[in-house]
Parts: sequence; C-alpha cells; structure tokens
Amino acid sequence: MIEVRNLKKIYNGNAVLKDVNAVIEKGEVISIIGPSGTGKSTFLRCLNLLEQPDGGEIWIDGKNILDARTDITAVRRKMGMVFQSFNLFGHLTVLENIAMAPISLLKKNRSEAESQAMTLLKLVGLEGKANALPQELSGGQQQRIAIARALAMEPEIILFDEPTSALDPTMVNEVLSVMRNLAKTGITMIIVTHEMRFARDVSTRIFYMDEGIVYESGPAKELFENPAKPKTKAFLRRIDMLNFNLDRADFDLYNFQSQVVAFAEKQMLDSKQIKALYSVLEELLVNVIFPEISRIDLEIGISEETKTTELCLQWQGNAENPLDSDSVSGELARMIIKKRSKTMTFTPLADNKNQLLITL
Amino acid sequence: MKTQFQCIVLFLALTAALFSGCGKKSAETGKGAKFDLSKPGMRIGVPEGAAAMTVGEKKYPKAKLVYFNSLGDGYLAVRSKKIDAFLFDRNSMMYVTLTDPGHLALLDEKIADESIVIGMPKKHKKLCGEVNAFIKQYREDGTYDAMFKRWCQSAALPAVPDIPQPVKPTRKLIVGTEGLNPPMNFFDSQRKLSGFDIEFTRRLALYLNAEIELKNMTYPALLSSLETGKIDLLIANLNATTERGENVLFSDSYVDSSIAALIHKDNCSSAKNTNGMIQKVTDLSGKQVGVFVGGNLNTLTNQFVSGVDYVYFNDNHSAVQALIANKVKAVLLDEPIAKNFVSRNPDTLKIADIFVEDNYGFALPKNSKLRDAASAVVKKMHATGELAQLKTVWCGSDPTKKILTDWAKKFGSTGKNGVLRAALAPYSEPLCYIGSDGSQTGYEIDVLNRIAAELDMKLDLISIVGGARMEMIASGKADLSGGSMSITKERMEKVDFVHPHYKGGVTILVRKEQVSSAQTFSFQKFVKKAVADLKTSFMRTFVRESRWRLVLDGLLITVAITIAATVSGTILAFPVWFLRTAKNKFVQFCGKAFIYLLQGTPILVLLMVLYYLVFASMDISAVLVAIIGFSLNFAAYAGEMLRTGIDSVPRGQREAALALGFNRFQTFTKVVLPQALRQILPVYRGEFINMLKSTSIVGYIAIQDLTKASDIIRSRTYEAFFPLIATALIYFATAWFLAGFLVWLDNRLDPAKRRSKKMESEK
Repeated sequence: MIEVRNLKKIYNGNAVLKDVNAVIEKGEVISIIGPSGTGKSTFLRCLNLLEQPDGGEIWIDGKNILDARTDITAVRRKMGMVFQSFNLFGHLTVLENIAMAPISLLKKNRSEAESQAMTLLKLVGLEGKANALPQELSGGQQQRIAIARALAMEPEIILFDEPTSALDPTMVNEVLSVMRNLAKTGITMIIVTHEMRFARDVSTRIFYMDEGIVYESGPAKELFENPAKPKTKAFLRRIDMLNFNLDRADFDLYNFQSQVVAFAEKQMLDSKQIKALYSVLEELLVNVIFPEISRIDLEIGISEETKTTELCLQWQGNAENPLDSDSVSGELARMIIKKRSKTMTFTPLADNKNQLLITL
Repeated sequence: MKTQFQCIVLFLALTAALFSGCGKKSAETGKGAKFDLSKPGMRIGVPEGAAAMTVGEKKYPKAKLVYFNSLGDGYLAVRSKKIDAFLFDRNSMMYVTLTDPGHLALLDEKIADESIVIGMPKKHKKLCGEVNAFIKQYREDGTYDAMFKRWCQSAALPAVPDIPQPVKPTRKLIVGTEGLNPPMNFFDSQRKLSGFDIEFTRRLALYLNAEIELKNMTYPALLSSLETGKIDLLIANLNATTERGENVLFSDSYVDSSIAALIHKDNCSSAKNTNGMIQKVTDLSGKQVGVFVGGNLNTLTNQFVSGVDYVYFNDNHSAVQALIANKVKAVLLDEPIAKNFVSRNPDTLKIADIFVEDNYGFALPKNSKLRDAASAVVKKMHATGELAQLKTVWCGSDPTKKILTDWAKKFGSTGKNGVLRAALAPYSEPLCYIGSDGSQTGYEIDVLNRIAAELDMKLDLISIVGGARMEMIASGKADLSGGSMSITKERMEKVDFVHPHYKGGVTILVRKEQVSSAQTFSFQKFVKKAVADLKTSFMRTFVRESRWRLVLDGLLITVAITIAATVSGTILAFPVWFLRTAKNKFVQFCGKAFIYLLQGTPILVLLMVLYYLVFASMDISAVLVAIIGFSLNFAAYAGEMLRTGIDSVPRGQREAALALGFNRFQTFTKVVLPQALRQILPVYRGEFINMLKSTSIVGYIAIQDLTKASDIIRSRTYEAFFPLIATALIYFATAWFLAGFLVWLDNRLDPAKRRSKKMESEK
C-alpha cells in the first residue's frame, strides 16, 4: 500500500534521512522506534507531506505523491494524523472539532456528521464531553478526541507521531487502550513511539530507525526477543557497556575498580549493588581468573531498565570453566562469586575462545 | 444610602464650583498700582500666527507671552485672570467687551497700527485693482460708515442685509473666510456665515458682477489656500504684515482698526466710580447702561449726559435680565414698560429717575391718506377721556381687566374700506406685547382696533422685531407700524406719525440695593446655584440658536470619517500583513517600510501632507483626504495586530488542519483567523477608539467635525467649561456605542459564550 524508496531529507546541511526504504501493507500496525533525533517523526511527516523530502519516492496506492501534479489534499484526506501535542482547534467545541472536516470536506450534512461524531466519542469513551472546549480537558482526553477527529474522516491509514510522549504516566494508558482497540479493527497504523511494551503487544512489525535509515525491521516478537544488530540490541536492552582489555602483567586493581564504580554510579546502581559488583570483580579477577589466565576481554553491561549487571569475559585458552576448578586457594573467592551471582554460564566458542557470562 | 447621596452631591457641587466660581470674583482692586503692559513679567496673550503676535513680541520683550490657538481661549484667559492682557484687533475685541462688560474692557491706548485688507494670490493683479476701486467707492459713499456703525458698535449682532446677487455674473470667485471672529465673520443662529466681512463680500460681488462661493476654514488653512491659489479672495479681517505680503497681494485697507489690548475690568484704571448709586440721569456717565437696539432712548439720553457706556440689546427683556444679573448698572426704558417690570420684580427693581417726555405714535408712510383720518380718531378718544380710561386699565395692576375690546362689533365694522396692515413690535408690556394666548395684545392694540373699526377697515396684525419698524413702512410691506415708537425729528423725516396716543417719558431702571450681610454658606443654596448654572450653560451651549444642530452635524462627520477609515483600514491591513510576512526579502522590506513610515508619522502631519501637498492641485473633498489618511494609519497598526494574532495561533493546529485535508486557504479562514481575531480584538478596539478621538484634528484641514463645532460654540459663548466637558462626554458616549459593536463581535466569536448560547437554545 505504501512504498518508500530512497527517501532523503536534509536539515541545515545535516541529512536526517539518508536512504529510507520501506514497504507497508494494508492492515499492518507498524511501530517506529529508535533513539531521539534519528528521523522517526521526520519520516512519518514525509508520508503525508507535512515535510517536503529532498529525494526519493513515496508511492501510496500506486501514486507517487511527490509528483507535482498530485492533489495532496486528496491524499491527506485518506490519511489521518495524531500529533504529540494533540493540536485540537481551540475555538471549537469537541463535537465541532470532530465534525468540522467531514462537513467541509466530505460534504456531510451537520446532523449526520454530528451523530457520527457522537459515535466516535463513545468509541473513545468521552461522549459526555461533546460540548467541552479543548482547554477544559486533560491531556489524555484531548488526545483521545484527536484520535476521534482523525477517525471522523474515515481514513485508510492513521499516522501517530509520539501520541503519548506529552502525557504524564497516569494518562498514557487511556490513550494506549484506545489505540489497542483501534488496531483490532484492521486499520493501517504507523506509530512513532517510545512505549516499548505497547509496541511489542500491538504491532505487526517494528521499524528500528538509526543512522538515517531503517536500521532493522521485523515482526514484533522476533525483534524484541532477538534483535540481530548491535545497535538494536543496545537500544532495546538499554544497556550501557564498559569494555576493558585486561592483562595480568600490568593490571592495576584499584584504578580498574574506580572506573567500574564511577560507571556503576552513573548507571544509578545503589551502594549495595555497587559493593556486590566490587567484591565479585575483585574475587573473580584476582583470585579466579588471573591465576590461570593471563589476558582477558571484559565487558561490563549495566541495564538501566532491569538494573542487572552482566559481566562478559572472553579469553583464549583451554575450554575450562575457571569457576569449576577445585583449587583450594580460590575456594573462598568461588564461594563469594557464586553467592552473589544470579547466573554463571560458561560457553566455549570457536577459535579456542571461551566466554564466561555472569549476571548479578 | 444617605452617605452615597451626599457624596454624589458633594462631587457635583465641587464640579459646579469649578466653573461657576472662576472669574466671578468681584474684587474691587485698589486704584493704586498702575496698569502698564511694558512692565517686566506681565502676562500677555497673543493669538498664534496673527499680526498681534509679532506686535506683542516686538513691543513687550520683557513680558511673558502666552500663545493661544483660538481667540475664545484668549478672551477667557483674560476673564479668568490667567493673563493680564490679550492683544488682537480692536473691532473684534470691542464686540467681546460689549457682550461681557462686567469683566472685560479695552485699554484705551493704541498698541499698534493695523491695516485690514483683502488678501489675493499674487496672480490676481487686475482683480486687486478692481477691489481697490470698490473700497474707494464704498468709503466715499458712506457705505463703510453705516456698516461699521451697525457691526462694530453694538452688542447685538445684526443680520446681513438683503443685498441682491448679480443676475448674470461674468465670473466666479472663491472667497475664503474664517467664521470664528465676531462681529467681522461668524456663524449666526441659522448656522450661516454672517458678519461685516460677509456683507462686504456681497457688496463686492455685486460691484464685480461675480458669483461668489464662500469657503470657511481655519486661519492657517486660509493663508496656505491663498498662497496656492485655492481661494481668490481672503476676506476675514486680514491684517497686512510684511511677511504675509511676500507671498500674497494686499488690497487697500477696508476697515479701520488697530491692535488693542483686552484687559480685565478690574484693571481698568480709567474706570470711573462704578460703585456710585444712580439717582439721576447725570449719574449714568461712565456706567454701563442697557438700551433697546432699535430705539431712540440712547439718543435722547445723550442730550442730558455724555460718556455713557451703552450696551445694546435685542429686546427690553434681555436688557432687564442683564440688569438683574448685575451685568449693566441701569436700563433705559419707556415709563409704562419700566413700571411693568417693577411690578413684576418689586424686590429687585426700582425706578431711579424719569427724565424727558416722550410721545408715542403710529408711523405711516409719507403722505398716507390714513394719517388725517387716524389722527382724528385718536384726538377724539383723547377729548372724550377714552384714552385715559384705556391707559388706566392697561397700565394698572389688575390682569383680569386687560382684555381687548371688540371694537369691530361695537361699531358694526365689516372692513369694507380695505385691510389695514399693521406691523407692530410686541415687546413692550403693557403697551404692545404677546399675551398668554399667544396673540398680540395691549394698550396700543386696543387703540388700533378702535381706529380700524371706526375707519371700517379690517385690521391685519403683523409681529416684527423692533429694528424693522421703519423698514416695514419703507418697503411697503405694512400700512402702519409701531410698538411704543417714539416720535422723533429724525423719524419724522422719513415717516408721518398719527397723532400721539401716549405721553410717556424715559425712565432709568435700576436694581434695588442689596443688603450685603455676610451670608452664611448654605450648602443647599450652593448646590442650587450650581445646578442653575449648569442649566444656563446647557441652554447656552446647545439650545440657544439651535446650536445642538451644529454639534450633531459635527458628530456625523466625526462618526462617518471614523467608520469609513476603520473599514478601509482593516481591509488594507490584509495586504499589509501579507507584504510584511512574505518570504521574498524585497517584498518584506516594502511591507516593513510601509508600517514603520505610517506608524512613525504623527497623524496630523500626515493629513496636512496629504491635503496641502499630495492632493494640493486636485479638487478633492477634505473629508475624503481625511479618510485616506486615517485608513493608511490604521492599516499600518492593524496589519501588525493581524501578524501578532496569526502568529499566536499554535502552529500545530495548522498542521492538524492540513493533515485532515484542508488546503492552505481553508486552514487560514477556518482555523487560524477565528482564533487570531479573538486574540487581537481588545487591541483592535483600543485602536478604533483611538482613531475616533484622533479625528478631532481634522479641523486643521478645514473639516467641521465635532471638535470644530465645539470651537464655534465656544467662540460665541465665551464659556470654557461646559462646552468642553460636553464635547468630551459626547466623544466618550460615541466611542462606547461604536465599540459596542466590537464587543458584540467578540461575544459571537467566543466559543464558551457561543456554546452556552447553543446549549440554552437546545434546552
């Protein structure tokens, strides 16, 4: 239904969209996620030409909308849009907001438009607010009205530009539930959002945008559970990483620890967790690893979301799990580590490499 | 409630005190300090732009000069002692002193010479020669002297006599005059231009065989119109100065005058004893004495005393009112009339002296056949004592007896000998006056009826003003004239008189001495006086001479200009906004330039530039120029208002509308504009009211708006407070009313109010 080829958009010499390609079928629910400033909203706004692309093609129902001859208002009537800042018309009541476009553009008569508006208000659960003015409503209510307003034009596609980003957490759910019900009706929806759980539950496909392109896309469940590319992964896990190459010969424990602690504090770990990390690292490196292995690659990842710490050690050597050793000298250390860790996984890798994954 | 009422009354009283208190101080200053204009620090008022201004600057360098825009303000300043003297043309100010003798006087000394001339554009050299020829003629044949006496030496403003207009004029001349300078040029009770200059204009027109178009405007406008040739002749008491002479032509002098100084009566060192009681006719010397303008009493009195300061009134009633108000010290009246006034005001008036006999008779055209017959009747009535009987009845104090006898019935007269047209001036009770039923009655009417009946003629009574008695006979409009008319030698040269039917005398009517005890201040009396003063002011400003019509005309002009300029200015605001917000740098610059230029130019300067420079050679109506000027100015402000309003509508709403499928125009008219307008409506309303008030300056380009009307009224009443406050109130009321429309618009656009209205109607 929608096909985007080589879309390009430049702001102030900066190419926000470099080469965007996508195909969206009828009835799909696409969620577009990604870090801020990667052009998600820009991409959405290019679809209904609120932004003018600098290159590429957009085909909607077989028509290239970037062609100068297309009647863009006709195209827009088939696409609804819901904005981050609601954008209800301040001088009209709720009912008038919803009925205005059908009356003027679809040439419906007033009573027909108004009764349809009432139906839509029921749908979003706000029929009692028909005569209210936008300024008298809360954010969540306004956004639901905005959705009703978009639906009044009976569009084939609805674009959602961060619909809940301006709402406080208590109101986010009321809007999301309306959108959930909408998705069930089979209408094509393209949603730019930061609500990951919602995106996972409702979407058919996810687009992860980064580096000015659709960096990764795929069916929702798959993408969330097994993101293929690193940036996707990093984004989804909201993991921050700290990398070290440690050599037994010139290892300075205290310098190392101070870096780790600084990093942990930045990740908002509490003092108990930091103490645990500190002691595990000390015992692990000094008393378990370095006695047997001379060089390792250490990756410390702290998830902001789950506040779990993941230690990933990789080294060259025999496929032996140092934690399984039964040497006497490291017994205390092994105990401490085992006590404080959640999981400890040893995996021999190819090329004589070994990996030890410890989560705290 | 009581305290509230008292507060309101106090407020009103204070307001009344403001204007009633000023200038009415009867401080009799000591005769010690000599009044000398050349003393340093003397406050001398001069009219802005007039020759008197230059005179004041040159002659009194040590004085503190105060410049006035209007003569009326200058006179008021003298009256309220804000300045010591005001310099201007003697004739104009003479009139002022005659109308306000209680407070104003002229300094005897001549301040400077004046040459009052006709102004003409430089191109009219031939015309100038013709005008000079006319001036020579009118001085030599006595026309000037008669005109001068009529206009410049009385408190009553006469009317311009009926001078015939040229039948087949050979040319058209545009004459410019001012209309704010009685008695030379002013607006009369019919709101038409009148005065010495107007009469002169008509006579000149006849002489030149020209059709005259009279245009009135302010003095600066007159001078520039003269220079640019927009008018051919300036006949408005113009004083020839060397600076003016550089750009225009002057005729010879057509009025003799000089620059005089108007001073407050209290400073009049030459004032003779004004406090003395009047007991005989010689006491009248040096005092202000009221007298009927069409009568002969002053001439009679001059045989007995000299140096009397006569104040002329249109009728006896006004003279006596002036006496009661202590504006004149005495009034000369015929005996029966004086007695009548005393009987009506026994506490305030009394007769001081009766001197000289005076006989009344009816006037007839020379060699009238009626004379002998009528005289015979009168003589008979005299012999039989009927005359005396009638006199007793009419001059007595029993009003029930004062009924006209039906002589026609008594004599069985049918009027077969024709109609006797009698023109009488019915202002002398009890001789000849308008009775309570509105018809003429009195002693003389009774006698006339008798004469007509005996001669078997039908009597046709015509009521006229006193000054016209002789004219009615002379023009043949009446067969007989009278109305307590004295038989004088002068008159007998022109008319014949019926045998006198009344022997009276000249009396001096004065006020009874007031007991000047220290009256305790009574709040109620104060308020009463304040209310009465307010009433008088109201009558004088609006009712007298239907002056309210002037105000209404001015108001209509003001409102017309305001509304027209608002509408066109608002329409113009859209292109201005469009230019200002265009993306093209050059177009945007044009928009900005327009806005800065028009916002930065004072509206008065803009109007004058348009009227005198841009549209100078075009014969364009001044009102249209005003509308153009105000529209441009308003558009500059409204354009910026529009920009602010439109910018204030959140951009997101525009996008939402576009996303729904509206095009740019629909988005603008349905979403942006309604909200923008609501935002700017309060400021718009303010600018609108501002403009309404700004229109008060259009007088500078010769438009007669509400403010100008107020000026004209003030120039006639010499009052400051009431006309000004009234004008301000009218502006306020007009603004409130017109802006009310905008308030209604605001309500219509306000969604909350709209919604509640809708919900009301749905219930």
